[in-house]
Amino acid sequence: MPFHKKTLILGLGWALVLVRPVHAACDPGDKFTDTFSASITYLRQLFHDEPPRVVRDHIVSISSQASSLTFEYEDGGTLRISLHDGQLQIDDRVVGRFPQGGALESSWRQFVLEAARIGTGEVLTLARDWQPDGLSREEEGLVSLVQERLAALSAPGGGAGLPQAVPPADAGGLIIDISDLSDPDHLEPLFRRAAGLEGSALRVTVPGGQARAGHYSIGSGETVKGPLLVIRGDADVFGTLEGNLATVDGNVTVYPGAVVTGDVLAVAGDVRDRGGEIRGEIRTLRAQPTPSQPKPPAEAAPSRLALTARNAAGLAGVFITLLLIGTGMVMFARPPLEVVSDTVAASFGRAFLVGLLGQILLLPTFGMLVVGLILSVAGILLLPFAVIVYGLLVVVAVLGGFLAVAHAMGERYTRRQLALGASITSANSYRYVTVGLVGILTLWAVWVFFGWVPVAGTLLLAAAALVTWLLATVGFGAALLSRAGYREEFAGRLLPAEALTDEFLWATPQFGVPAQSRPSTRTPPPPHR
Amino acid sequence: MRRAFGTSALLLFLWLIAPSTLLSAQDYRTVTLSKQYRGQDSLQAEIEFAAGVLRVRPGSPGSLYRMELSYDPERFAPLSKVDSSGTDLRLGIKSSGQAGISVGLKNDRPQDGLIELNPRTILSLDVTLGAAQADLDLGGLRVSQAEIRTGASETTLRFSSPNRVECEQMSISVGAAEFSGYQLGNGDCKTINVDGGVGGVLVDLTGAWKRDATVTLAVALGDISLVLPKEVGVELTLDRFLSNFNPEGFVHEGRVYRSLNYATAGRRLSLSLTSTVGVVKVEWK
Repeated sequence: MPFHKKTLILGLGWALVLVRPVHAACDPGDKFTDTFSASITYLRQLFHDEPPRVVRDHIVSISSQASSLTFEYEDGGTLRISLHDGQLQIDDRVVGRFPQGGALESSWRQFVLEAARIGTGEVLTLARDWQPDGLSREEEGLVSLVQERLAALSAPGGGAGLPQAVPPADAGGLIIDISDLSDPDHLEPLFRRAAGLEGSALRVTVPGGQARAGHYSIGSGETVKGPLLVIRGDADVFGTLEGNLATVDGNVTVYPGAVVTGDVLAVAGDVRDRGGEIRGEIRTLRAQPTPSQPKPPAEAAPSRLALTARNAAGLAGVFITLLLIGTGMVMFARPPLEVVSDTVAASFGRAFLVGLLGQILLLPTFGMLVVGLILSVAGILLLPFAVIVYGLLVVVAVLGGFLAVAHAMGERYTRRQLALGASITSANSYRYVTVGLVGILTLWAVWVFFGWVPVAGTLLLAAAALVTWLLATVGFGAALLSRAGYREEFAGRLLPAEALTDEFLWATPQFGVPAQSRPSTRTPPPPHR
Repeated sequence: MRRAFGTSALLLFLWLIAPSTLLSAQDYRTVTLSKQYRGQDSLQAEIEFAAGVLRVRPGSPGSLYRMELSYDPERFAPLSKVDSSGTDLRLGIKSSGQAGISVGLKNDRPQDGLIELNPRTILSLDVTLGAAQADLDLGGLRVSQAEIRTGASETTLRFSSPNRVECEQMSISVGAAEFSGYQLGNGDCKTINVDGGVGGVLVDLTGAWKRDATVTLAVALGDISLVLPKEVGVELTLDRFLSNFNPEGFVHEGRVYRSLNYATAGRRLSLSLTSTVGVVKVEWK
């Protein structure tokens, strides 16, 4: 491909990558390489330029009617070329016809037979030079077609090259000891390094053995002593290998009658047992890219209106829930609720301090409870129940205290309204709790509707959270102070309830209340006649 | 020359600004380990599987064993040790010291192992499972003895077809885990011990019993589901505390329950069951 065309493709590919959506660039799961290769693939398709496919292996099939050669790609695909009943098929699709028994068929069968006994890299080299004699014009066209397809293939590792012995490395060079193949993870990086060497740089020392590059075969009468490493090629064993055998980017095939006395390891290849004897362990190691899991669709950011509506719905839900709980408490536990509420009103600061202290001591108290129960041995059985009860008590104290605060707020507000002459027919605890909750949640309503304002929104949220925590702390403290509403010492109720009856007020002088003069002892005047 | 320099500079610039995700690709590895069967009479197989999904099943007769393992090399390493005679084997996956909870953006997936054992060799099996989900099918093998220990796992043991030799003992120790044993009658074991910790246990004793056997089953905290064969006489000794048991299909004298066919059955099972907290369910098949 011309240089300018390559540069153009590369440049446009990167340009596409750079102008990809910002959210994709920010996404850590973004498959950058996918984007790039997709861009390149697209542009290549635009220029009708197919990328070369790297071949991992080849398979030969010959019968009286057909002969086929299949190349397996490293990325999983295949290319199948088959001559079958006078038809040339590529990937099972008929691309041409030829006279049966002619020069093309006989030459192809010879080629396929040869391919059965040599390595994949050599098959590719031979295929590119395949020029049968005595072909008709149609047959020559078919050969060109086959070679056109094969030209797009490349051997693993950038080309098989000719089989050769690998000279030992110089001092400080690459040394791979394959006398122990039990840890392929440890050996694999060394193998990869060896497979990356080309030309004169390909020098590897195998202690006590030898290294070969390209396809290597041990003949049926042959005996090779010492460990054998085959780089970028297949190892076919027909004879005897006294030692370990390892390949990188190649397969090991052990044929009937063959013997390998040691272990066999194939890195990025397979071990095929065709009936030979392998006395050691057989290992293969293959890197496997982690399949990318489908990413969940990115959730679109809600609009400002939708966000407000969502928050408002949440607030309404919380309000209704608290209102229902509050109604239940008023209905079934009004006296303790009123005592806690009065404690909030009469001892606000004290309740806050106690609530704060209570929050600090929550966990230590729980820890002491658990430890105490464990140490008492007999109490271990009670531990699960104690944990549940403790949790429930905390929830009741916090929630009940919070509702008592709402009650106190509502009561104070309603009394003020009454004092101002408002006509309120239902000045009771139900109303107090409702009014108080509305007051507290108004703060949150402000945040709901104005929370989107950049800085002020955050401040509103912080203020609402802080005030809510403050009130909850006061309520919790009041619940503790009043022992869940059963002690009135801090409720500001200085007089017993009976002291507030009309009879008591009439009969008993009160401090600060001017006493009414007693009626005179004189006999009342007779009624006027 | 100038053009080449410009292109190189462009490529260098693009390489520098390329996201680091290019370099952080995480690859799993697949390793296969096997050994040819060369007439070994017996095999002492020890399987240790630290974490992931494990399947064990009978393999091809030409292979003494075969393990295919897909794993994260950063956290785990394959375990493979076999002596020269091929009669003492250790297989599985172990932590490489960096295991634990992986937190990150990479796509985590479990380690996946498949172990195939030779059906011709007499096996003495020792399986230790960690945080694993295991499916062990020992049907069709020649298991003479088996010991299975599970940790926080979900284990299924089955004899889908009869064991080819007599099994002396099978011990199963279950930690905080779920255990299901199916068609254990096909295992033809003289004694079966299931020691459960916390978690449900299902023991299916159906199958082709060839002799009388003793089964001991103890679970500390969890339900026990028993599937008993109708054609075998069962004598159940029950020791329970805070456990519920419905003795359907039994007649009992004190703590001993006997199946209705106990006196006439050709094969008899002596079943000792201890349950501390849980429900014992019995199903006849």
